[in-house]
Amino acid sequence: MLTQLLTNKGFKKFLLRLGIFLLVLFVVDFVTGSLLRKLYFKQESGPDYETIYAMEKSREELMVFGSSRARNHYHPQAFEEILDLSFYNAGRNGNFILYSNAVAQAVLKRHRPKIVLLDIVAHEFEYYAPNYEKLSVLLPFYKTHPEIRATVDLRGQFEPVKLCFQMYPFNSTLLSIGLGNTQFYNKKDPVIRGYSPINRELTQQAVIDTNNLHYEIDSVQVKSYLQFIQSCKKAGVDLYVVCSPYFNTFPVRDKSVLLAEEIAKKYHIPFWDHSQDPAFSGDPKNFYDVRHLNEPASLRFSRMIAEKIKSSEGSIAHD
Amino acid sequence: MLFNSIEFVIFFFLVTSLYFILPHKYRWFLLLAASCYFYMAFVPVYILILFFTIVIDYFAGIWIEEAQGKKKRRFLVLSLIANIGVLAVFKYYNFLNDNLTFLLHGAGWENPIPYLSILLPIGLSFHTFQAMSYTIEVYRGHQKAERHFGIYSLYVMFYPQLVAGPIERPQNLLFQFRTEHRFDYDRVVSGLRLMLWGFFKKLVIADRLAIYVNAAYGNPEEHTGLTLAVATMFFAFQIYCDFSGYSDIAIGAARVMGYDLMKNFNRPYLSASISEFWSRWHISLSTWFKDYLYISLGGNRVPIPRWYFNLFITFLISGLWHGANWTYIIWGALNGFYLVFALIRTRYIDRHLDNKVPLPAWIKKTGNILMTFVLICFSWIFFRAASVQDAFLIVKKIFTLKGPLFTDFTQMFYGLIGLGFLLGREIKHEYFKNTSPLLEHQNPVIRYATYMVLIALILLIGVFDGSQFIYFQF
Repeated sequence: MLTQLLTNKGFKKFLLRLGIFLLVLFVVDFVTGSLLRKLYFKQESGPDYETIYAMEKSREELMVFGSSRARNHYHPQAFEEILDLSFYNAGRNGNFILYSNAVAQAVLKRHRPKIVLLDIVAHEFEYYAPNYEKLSVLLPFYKTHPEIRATVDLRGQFEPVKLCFQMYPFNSTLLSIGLGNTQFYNKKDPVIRGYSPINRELTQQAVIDTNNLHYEIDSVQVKSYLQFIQSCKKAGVDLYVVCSPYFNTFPVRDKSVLLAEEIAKKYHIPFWDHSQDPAFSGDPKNFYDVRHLNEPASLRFSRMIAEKIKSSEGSIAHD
Repeated sequence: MLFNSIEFVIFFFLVTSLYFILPHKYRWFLLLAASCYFYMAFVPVYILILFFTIVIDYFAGIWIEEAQGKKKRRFLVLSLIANIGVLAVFKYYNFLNDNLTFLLHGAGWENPIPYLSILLPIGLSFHTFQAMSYTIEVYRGHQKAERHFGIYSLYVMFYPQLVAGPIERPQNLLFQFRTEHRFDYDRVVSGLRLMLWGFFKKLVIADRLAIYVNAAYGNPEEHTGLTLAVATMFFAFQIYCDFSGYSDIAIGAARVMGYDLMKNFNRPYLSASISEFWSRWHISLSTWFKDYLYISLGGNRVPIPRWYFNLFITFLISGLWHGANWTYIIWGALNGFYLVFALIRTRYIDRHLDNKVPLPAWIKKTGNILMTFVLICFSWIFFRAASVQDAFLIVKKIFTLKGPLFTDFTQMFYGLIGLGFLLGREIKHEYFKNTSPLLEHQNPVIRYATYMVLIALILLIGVFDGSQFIYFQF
C-alpha cells in the first residue's frame, strides 16, 4: 500500500506543493516575526515597554514586584525620599507570582537590587487557569532569556512547538506594539518609574467579602513563590513581602496570605500583612476600587512601608 | 482532545498518514481505534456509555430488519428507549429533579429523589441522535442493517464528527467505510483548506469575541444595555464561528481521508427569513428534527392549527435537545413562535401589504436580512444567558440602552478584523458566485497569499487558551 501511495501522482504533487507551502510559510513567518521583534523591543511606552525595561534595563536599587496592586500601591516618591534609593515598580496588571518570579529571575541574572518588595494578593496561590495564559506577555523573551523558559512552559506542554513560529511570541500584541512605538500610553496613563497613579474615590460602603474562602492551593504557584524567595536570598537581596490594603473586610485571614507568611517566616523574610489595615481599609476615600488604593492613599501607604523598612521594623514580624 | 490544539494537529497527521499507508481492509480498525482514543482523551470512562448504545443499536438494527409487523416496531421502540434513556439519565435527570423539587417545595413538601453527581458525556446528544437515525432508517427500510460490528461502531464513533456532528444519516456515511479511498490530491487540498478556514473562524473570531461576550454576560448587572446589545451581536458571530468552525474542521478532516460529510452551515446570517435561517443553520440537526419528528407528527399535511402546533413543538424539543435548562427551552419556543408567526403573517397579512409598499427588491431583501438577524440575536440572549432571570434582565437593559459602551478596545479591534474577513468571504460566496474565491483562486500567488494571511492572523490574533467548542456540552 505504501508503494501504491508513493507511486500515486497526486501524492507526489502534494508533497511537492507541501514543500513549497512550507518554504513560503517559513520565509513569511521569519520575516514577519523578525520585523515584529524589532518593533516590539523598540517600544517607548506601555505595559510591554515596562516589562522590557524591568527585564533588560532596570538598574534600580529598590524594585517592586507584583500585580496591578503593586503597580498602583508603591509610589516612587515615598521610597526615594525616605530611603534615598533609586526605585522601579515592575508590577504588571493581571499578572501574579508566576510572572513576578520570571521577571525577578531575569533581573537577578544581571543586576542585584539592594531591596526587593514583593506585593502578594489574597488568593495569590489559588489555581486559576488565566494566570497561566497571561504568561503570554513573556513569550517575546523566550528566545533570549533562558531563565524564564521554565515559567513560560507552564502554559502547556506544546508551548515550545508553537514557539517554532517566529510570529507566535507576538500573539495579541499587534495593537500594543503599534501604540507602544508612539507616546500614546504615556499620554493616556502617565507612569512614574513603573508606578501607575489612579485617582478616584469610592462611594460605596465596605462589606464582608466571603467570596470563595475555601479554594484549593496551586502548588505550582507556591513553588514559584519559594523560588522567588530563594533567588533573592541567594543574591543577597533584602526581600520584604507585603500584602497591601483591601477595601472590604475578610471574615478570616486569606489562605494564600497565611501560607505566604508561613513560608516567609521559614526563610526569615519580613512579612507585613496590611490587607486589613484600619488606616486604609474600609474608608472609601482611600480607594479607586475595592482592590486598588488611589494615588493619595498609595503615597501614604508607600511612606509607611518605606519608614518601616528604614526603621528595620521588619524582623520576622506580622502586624 | 480539542480540534483547536496541537495534540489534534499531531493526531490528525499521524492518523491520516497511517490511513493512506494501510491496506483498505485494515482502515476501519485504524479509524475505530483512533476514534476511541480521541473520545477517551476527554473522560475515558464515558466510552462505556457509547459502547452501551452501540451494542443496543447494532443488535436492534439486525432484529428490526429480520422481524415482521409489530415485532419490528417493538425493536425500534427498544432502541429508542435505550438511546433516549441514556440522554434522560445523563442530561435531563437533574434538570427534571430540580423542577420537581421546585414544584414540591411550592406545595410545602420535600423532594425525596436524590440528585446524580455526574458529568455530561461530551457530544452525547450528537451521537445518540446519529445512532437513533440508524435504527429509524433501518425500520423505514431505507438502510440495510450493518452486520459488521466494527463498521457500525465506526458509524457512531467516526472521530471527525463524533462530538459535535454533523449528525449523519446511515445512507450517507455507512457505505463510505466500505469504499476504498485512494489519495486524491484535490480532495486532500480542499479538505485542508476547509480545516484552515475552520481554525481561523474558531481561533481568530469565536474565541476573540468570546472574551467580550463572557465579560458582559458573566456579569449583566454591572453592564449597560448598549454593552449587552453589542455583546449579544458578538455572541451571534461567536457561536456561528465556533460551531461552523468546528464543522469545517470536521468536514475537512473527513474529506482529506476521502469521506463526504454533510454541509452543516450555509451562511445563515444572510437569510432573509427565519425559515430560511433554519434551512442554513445546523442543517444536520434541523433536517433530523424535520425527518424524524416534524414529519412524523404530520408535518404540514394536517389542519392548519395542528401544522402550527407541529412546528412549534419541534422547535421546543430542539431547544431542549440543546441543554437541560429553561433558557434553551425558551430559545426553542421563541424560534417556534417566530416561524408560526411568519406563517400567519404570510397567510393573512403580507398579501395585503406587498403591493402597497413600493420599495426596490434589494432594499426589501436587506431589510429582511437585518430583521432576521435582529430576531435571531434576540433569541440568542436566552441561549447564552446563565439563567432565565439573567436573560430577562439583559432584555430589559437592552431595551432601555442606558449608559456608555464598555470598550475593551484590544478585543474589539482584533475581533472586528476577523469579522471583516468572515463577512467579506460570506458576502462574496453569496452574491458574487462568478468570481473565484481567494482560498481556491486559480492564481497561485493570490491563493498562497491568502493562506499566509490566514495563518499569520491565526498566529498573531488567534486566541490560544484552549477553550472548548460551545456545542461540545450538548
